[in-house]
Amino acid sequence: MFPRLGFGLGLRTTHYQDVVGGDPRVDWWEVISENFLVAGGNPRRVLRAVRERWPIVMHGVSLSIGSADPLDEAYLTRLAALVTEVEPAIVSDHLCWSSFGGHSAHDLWPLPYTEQALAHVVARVQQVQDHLRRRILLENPSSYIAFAASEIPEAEFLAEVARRADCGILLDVNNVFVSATNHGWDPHAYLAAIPADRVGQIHLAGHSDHGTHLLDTHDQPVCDAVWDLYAAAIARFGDVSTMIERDDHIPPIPELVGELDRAREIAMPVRSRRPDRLTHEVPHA
Amino acid sequence: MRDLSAIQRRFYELVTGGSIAVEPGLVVGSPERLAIYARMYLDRLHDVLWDDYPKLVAVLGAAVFRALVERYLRASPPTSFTVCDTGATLPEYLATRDDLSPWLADLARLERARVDVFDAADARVLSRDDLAGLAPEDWVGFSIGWVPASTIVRVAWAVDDLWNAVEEETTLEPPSQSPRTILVWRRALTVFHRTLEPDEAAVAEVVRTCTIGDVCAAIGEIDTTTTPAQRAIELLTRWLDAETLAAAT
Repeated sequence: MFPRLGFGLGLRTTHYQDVVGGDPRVDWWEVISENFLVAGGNPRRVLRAVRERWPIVMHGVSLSIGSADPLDEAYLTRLAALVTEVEPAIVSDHLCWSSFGGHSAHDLWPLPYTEQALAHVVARVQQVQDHLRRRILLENPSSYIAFAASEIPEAEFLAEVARRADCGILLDVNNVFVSATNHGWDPHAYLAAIPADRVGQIHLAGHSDHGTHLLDTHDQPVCDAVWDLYAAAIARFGDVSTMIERDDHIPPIPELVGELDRAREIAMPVRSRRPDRLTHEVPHA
Repeated sequence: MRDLSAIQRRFYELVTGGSIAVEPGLVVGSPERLAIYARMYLDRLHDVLWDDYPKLVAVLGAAVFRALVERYLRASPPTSFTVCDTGATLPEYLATRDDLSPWLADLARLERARVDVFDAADARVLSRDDLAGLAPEDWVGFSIGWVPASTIVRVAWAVDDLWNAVEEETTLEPPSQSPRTILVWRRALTVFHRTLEPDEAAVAEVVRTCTIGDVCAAIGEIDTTTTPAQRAIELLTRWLDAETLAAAT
């Protein structure tokens, strides 16, 4: 159902020169869509140069799929134009909300997992997919609070959105670990509730431990506990395109490639069972 | 509280209002957990403004700048899908603050112009060779304009001098009241700005879309020590070499 791209990194401004002028051992790059919804200048030049040599995955942060506000049509139109131009292998955003009353918080807030929210998100995912004429992936968020109104476990909510809206899931293994720790969930039960055929991409990242809670900071290497959870995820979901996110204290690319090598090693048994690495995505109907 | 819209309204109010009070029936978790969201909201947007207005930060200091950001966000919460637009109205906001120095708004205008130009649309710049290839009879009627990655900023205070002082890490003095026009533009990947000479500032207005003949005519209306044609060539050459001109369509 989803392309198998191998192992990628998030494209960050600090690495632009090394990526465009070099040849990092990376199979694909994920870009933050909003960073390239600009008229011109350096970001667009870099994007064109990178796209000429690698597959690109577009990851958004402003869809606000769970907001009670109407979808931002202007945003969708510009996103669709960028999708047409870049022809990304995957388009994704988050299972979250970030806007209310016409104001945007530019954060990824968790939803109350209710039947009302479920129906709301499903309808909006379908609207977005119709607009973009392709299937999107939604990423599980990391969270620090839960809403008292929630009546559906997050993993089941996400699985049901994917089934009803016919969208994919971007499984952030670090987010599963962070939220499971913060809320006392079983991370393996979380993975078990996610339908294997819906997972189209995996995120790995680092977090920081604040004693009473974990923060999803993306500012350090992936920790051993998350690597262990990744191994369990790969065993369940198979040869899924995997990438490492780093947004702060960003090291040189070779260091991140070293982390990717660990992911390759963990996934090796699964990958060797999968000769169809270049399976292409079935277009969204 | 079960309605999606009602839940989101209250959560938004609490987080963006900086509250750490947990309301029974809204969220499960300690006030500290809710405060994480309030802190992340402010920190993220503060960091965006910090990057966009480095000279303002240098002039105000970190603590005053953070307090300014808090008040600005309450007065003008972000409405755009892109976080880059968060500080777009900071210059206008500063202009409304009677308790702050009036030149701060001008400094912010200059900094904002530099941010906007950085991401502006690309265009093929006009070169000396383009003009050299024109037949003499086509010169006067040839249309030119500024490239999209350029803008003109009018300020009432010498904030360009203050900008330079911050850049060069010299002693910071409040700028003098001295109206001026500043051209901001991008060449390749770098943003520049330059304070225009008085006649150049007047002609720069005309150049939004005009012919070379219009440039000469505009110069002719201004009292200069050189002939209009000489001065027009001087300015055109300056603008061409800075890569600020495009052929108007």
